[in-house]
Amino acid sequence: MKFNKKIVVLYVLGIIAGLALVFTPVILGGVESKILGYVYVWAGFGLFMFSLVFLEMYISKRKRPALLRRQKIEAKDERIIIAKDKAGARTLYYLWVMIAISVLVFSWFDVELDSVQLIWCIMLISVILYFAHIYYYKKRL
Amino acid sequence: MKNRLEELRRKSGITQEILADRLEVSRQTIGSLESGRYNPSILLAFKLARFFNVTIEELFLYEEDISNEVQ
Repeated sequence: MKFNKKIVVLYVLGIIAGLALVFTPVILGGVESKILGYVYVWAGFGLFMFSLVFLEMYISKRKRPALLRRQKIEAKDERIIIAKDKAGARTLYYLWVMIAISVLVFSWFDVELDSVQLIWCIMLISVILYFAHIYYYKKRL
Repeated sequence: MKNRLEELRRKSGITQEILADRLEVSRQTIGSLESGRYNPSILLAFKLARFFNVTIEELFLYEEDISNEVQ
């Protein structure tokens, strides 16, 4: 299957822009605030990983049409859609519980914390929980 | 809900992969249906019934119907 050059160039640009964002604080010798530094690094890392993963997926799909067909089928498969819905709902429930517990515990112990770090941490746990739940429901259904 | 999917598939002499491919679902979904872990949507139930040229009632056996038949 032929490659669409525009799509490949777009992903490569995403990778370069992601790397540029990650190293911006280093190149500029620091940024105005700590939070802005986090934003640069995490946004850059996100863009880099997103572009890299999607470029790899795009290339493998073009090289293996059978894989492309299987992925199309899986995207429409009702059992997998139900598993994803259930996983999303369950993860959202745990997300609220985690936020509530975090706020309670940190308030109780009067801990000074960086809210940006806390949010990143909760989001990361939520993503892990989401994929764990998808795995669980796919096995169960 | 029980079903006769595996029985009909074996009678037809086709594999789970082929059936999944024809109905455009994953092979794992066919496996889950056969083992009774997953109950299909009405749309998939119709597709399966039409594929094997039977009615939905002949393919899927509702638990209440089974207990009534026994009584």
